Amino acid sequence: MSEKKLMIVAVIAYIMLVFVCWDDSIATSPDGRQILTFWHTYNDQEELVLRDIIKKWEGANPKFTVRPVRIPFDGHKAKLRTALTVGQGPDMARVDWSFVCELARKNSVVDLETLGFENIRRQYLEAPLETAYIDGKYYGIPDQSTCVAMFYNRQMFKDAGLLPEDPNAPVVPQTWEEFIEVGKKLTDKSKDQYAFAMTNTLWWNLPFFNSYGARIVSEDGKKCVIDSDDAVKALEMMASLVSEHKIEAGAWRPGAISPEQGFVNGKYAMVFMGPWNLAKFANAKMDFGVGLIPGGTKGTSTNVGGTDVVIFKGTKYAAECYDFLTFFTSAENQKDWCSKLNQLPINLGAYDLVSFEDPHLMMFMEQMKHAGPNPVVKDYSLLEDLVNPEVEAVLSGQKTAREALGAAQKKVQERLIDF
Amino acid sequence: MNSTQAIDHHNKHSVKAQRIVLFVFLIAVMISMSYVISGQLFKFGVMAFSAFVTPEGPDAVTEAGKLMQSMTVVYNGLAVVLTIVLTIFVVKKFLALGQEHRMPFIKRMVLYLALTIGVVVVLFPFFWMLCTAFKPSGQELVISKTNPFDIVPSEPTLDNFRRVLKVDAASKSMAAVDAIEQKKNFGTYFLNSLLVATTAAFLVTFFAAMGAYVFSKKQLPYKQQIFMLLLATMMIPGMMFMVPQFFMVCKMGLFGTKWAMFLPHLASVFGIFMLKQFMDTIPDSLIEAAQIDGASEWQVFTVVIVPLALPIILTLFLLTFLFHWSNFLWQLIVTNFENPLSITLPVGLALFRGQYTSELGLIMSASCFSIVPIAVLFLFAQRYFIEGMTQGAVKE
Amino acid sequence: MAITSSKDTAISFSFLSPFLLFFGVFLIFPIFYSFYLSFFGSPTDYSLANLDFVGLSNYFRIATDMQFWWSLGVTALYGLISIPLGISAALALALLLDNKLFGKSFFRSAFFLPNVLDMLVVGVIWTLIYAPKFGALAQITTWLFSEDNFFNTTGLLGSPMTALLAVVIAMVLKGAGFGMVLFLAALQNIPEAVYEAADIDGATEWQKFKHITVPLLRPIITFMVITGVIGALNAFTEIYAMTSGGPQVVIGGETVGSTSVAGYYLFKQFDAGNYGYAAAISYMLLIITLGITWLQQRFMNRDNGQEVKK
Repeated sequence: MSEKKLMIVAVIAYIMLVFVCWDDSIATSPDGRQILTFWHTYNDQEELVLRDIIKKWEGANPKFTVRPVRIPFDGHKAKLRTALTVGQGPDMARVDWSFVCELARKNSVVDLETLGFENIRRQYLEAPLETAYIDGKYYGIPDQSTCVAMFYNRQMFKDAGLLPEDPNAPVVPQTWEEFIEVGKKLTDKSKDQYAFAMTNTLWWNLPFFNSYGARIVSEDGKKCVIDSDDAVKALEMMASLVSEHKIEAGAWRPGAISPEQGFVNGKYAMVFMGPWNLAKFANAKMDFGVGLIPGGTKGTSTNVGGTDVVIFKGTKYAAECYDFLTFFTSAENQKDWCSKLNQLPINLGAYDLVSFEDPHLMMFMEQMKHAGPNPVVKDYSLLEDLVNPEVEAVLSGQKTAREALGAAQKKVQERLIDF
Repeated sequence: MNSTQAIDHHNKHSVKAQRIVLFVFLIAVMISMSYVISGQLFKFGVMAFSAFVTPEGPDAVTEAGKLMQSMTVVYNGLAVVLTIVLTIFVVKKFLALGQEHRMPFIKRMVLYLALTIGVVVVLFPFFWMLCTAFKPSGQELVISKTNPFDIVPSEPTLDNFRRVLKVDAASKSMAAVDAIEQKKNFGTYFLNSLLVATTAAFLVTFFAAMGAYVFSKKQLPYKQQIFMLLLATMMIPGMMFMVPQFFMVCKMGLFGTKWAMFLPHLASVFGIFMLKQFMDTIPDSLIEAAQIDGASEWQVFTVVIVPLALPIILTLFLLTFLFHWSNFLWQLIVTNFENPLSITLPVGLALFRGQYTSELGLIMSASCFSIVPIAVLFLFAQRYFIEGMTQGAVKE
Repeated sequence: MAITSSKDTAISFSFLSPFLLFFGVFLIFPIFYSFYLSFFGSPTDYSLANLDFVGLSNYFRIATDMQFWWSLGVTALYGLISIPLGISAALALALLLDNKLFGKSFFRSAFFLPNVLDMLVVGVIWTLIYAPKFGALAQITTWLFSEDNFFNTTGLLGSPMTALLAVVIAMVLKGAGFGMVLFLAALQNIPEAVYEAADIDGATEWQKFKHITVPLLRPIITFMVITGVIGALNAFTEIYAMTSGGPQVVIGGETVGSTSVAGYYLFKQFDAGNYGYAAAISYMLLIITLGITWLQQRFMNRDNGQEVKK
């Protein structure tokens, strides 16, 4: 009998569930104003600031309203691709920098030159802006940008007697040669302690390549130049950290834990890391500092991360969208945004307006000025898939840098650029 | 004669000695395992308790840590007591046995120890997930320097759970923004997923059971060939179907509805295959007996086949439920994000994850929540498909 | 006679109809559509309307695609290790837990439980267990030996020799409980009388296992072999979560991933938007598996035939 009772309870529960969930209609019409849909991937705090900015814009544009719709960052590419397939894309969206080229080549985003971008583009930081520069035109505006810099563990530097007496002097070595020297003093294999740890993906390796002035893809995007002498030099130096000098912990191997975890645990003295981890490390009660990435033949450099905002061809209100997005990324609003959220500005005008209490963030602002160009290709994840295995083969000593980069160049040219 | 007796005697002694050595060794293994496992479990209990009783605040983590510190005696003591009780129990039982029963007893001990080791290895991911969910941000992989077996955090926090349930300050102010935002919470996602997963699991199991019955016990022209064809379609990876199925769902005007979440996945060849293979092991004589008693086709199916196949049917139900409970990619592309009422749990959990926050603790606590209904379902079903298996109709 | 059989057929169809309805609507079209796509190049925009017909060139490209054939080899190896290991683990558990045993239900539930965890979560957790310097395995070996041991420097997933095996072990431990449930349920359908008769004939335990248990469990074993093959062909999430196809090995100048299985390679193509090529690969995989199945069936039938003649 209890089985019967259980069944009845289950059925009633199910009917109630249907009743609760059935009505999935929701009132979405906002008092007759024209809706501009903006798909974004911000978090809660960022969305609050975004809504403030939207309110300000709507005050000046009473006929329109911007509806921010959050989609998950994991999967925003798949979501946009499929939505565009059936013509259900938004008016504008915030996308990862690596996605803009694909959208532009597939003819689905608006060329901003037609809306007068030429006049204002000089106010944006160059390296992030370059990620939206495809085949001679600009297709997106950077809205948020990051880069990596060198985090170091102060305690470990102190223990090794490497902290300079002058508190204003840089702690992290200035060149890769010095880096190797310092690295040897920080490495103690018997204590499982290493000077440095790196992950092997192209984006994380860009600081190495850029500090030697090596490009991955030529400026016009027509040729893969990863086999240049500069790139070979950069990769040889990377590999020497692992094999010759043995100051790297092997975090590039598949299945290894990301460098940041080793850094938090006090096993790695230096790692590349972005500003998004500042709060987390402070939370873990670490004594750490941030410095510039050591310089190669072309001085210090780094990569560019972050997102761009784009306008889709499906919209009827491209001019209004453009107006909103330029308002959103204007120097004044960037100042609000960055000081409220502790983020790096992408508008050069905001650089002078923003000042952070956190010295680490100031260091990031300095590093950002030296950011090198990112490779802009139709399919960035394929580029990673083609290059990373070859670099791994060098790190594990199975190929020389020249062989590996030659093979990578051939593959990228065949599969990605001419394909 | 005498010498052989002596050898015999000697052998007996050495066998006895061997047995004692073996037993002592096993007891040692048992004691260490029992101490480590129960220590960890009790510590987990104390950890969860102190995390719950500590009020929110900036120093909550250290407070909870201090509370745990003060209760060290409790969990270590409990572990020691439990281990001692267990040891006394086993030793007493062993000594009470006659010589000839001792070897089987030792074998049984080995079996239990092996099974326990197996369970520990298999369930370790679960335990690790639970523990990580309690760790404060940034310390997910901070490891105990003194004892590598100790994975329970010593400074627990409920922050991860709170953030998943969206009770932190930022979200509260978000909810005040407008009516749509208010619906964006864990509860909505959870109920939506519950509806989608139960409906889909029920229909899939029902259809698959009927289909499997035909393929296993009924006549159908070209039955074997049709079955082979169905199997062949299983070889094509599911991702190839995604884009065309998305097309169809949109053409039918189902985009953003709950129908779209599960309709394309209702025809489960896997389910038919699994149930058919099991039904093949049911003797035909049972069906014939029912038919002689005058049972209709439907009655044969519901009275003979379904009860016998219940454990497997429930397994299929559970697996289908799970599939729909975590079917991220498909549900992502058919979700209409402008309408939070169409967001399901896997997609909703992805919304919590920011771009740069690959925070393990947050992901693990979200996973903890998402396995709750599965655990409940499992507990109910367990009665039928774990214990039910021991009382099959054939064996009576 | 003819009437009953047609009535039987009608009943069969009515039982099958709900399944066939959804199969026909939601699977037949995609199957043909993806076959159709395999003759087209990559789309130039998102609408999938402007595709250029390339004939069989996607299939010709597969023939010279070293990475594909390598991934096929890795898949075969993955299947050859994981299927026997998975079946024997499940069968061993089922036989152990079919006895009278205190706490039997607890053990059964415990072994089945990992199946309810998401594959991605399991993959992440096992990666952390295997991880050099931080994982449980590395810490235990460091505690037992020294810092300079394989588990602490390279890790199981870091070496091309052990990475695939490590993935298989994680997956077998996750999946063994499922097979165990199937075997346990099927064991209940073996009438006790058969064993009793064998006892009277003086059969040993091994003989009973080999001549009674295994034949009666054959449908389940078939199921596990075939789903194992499908699992190996579709293996993707575990590779994605644990190794991303690495560690790399250089063979004849070509760099290939030691755990890059066909499913993972296919996903990469799909993710890159090469729908045509991805479709061609999946049909190639289908043809190869069906070919192997057909050959194996032929040989099996011949063997059976000979046995019957004897």
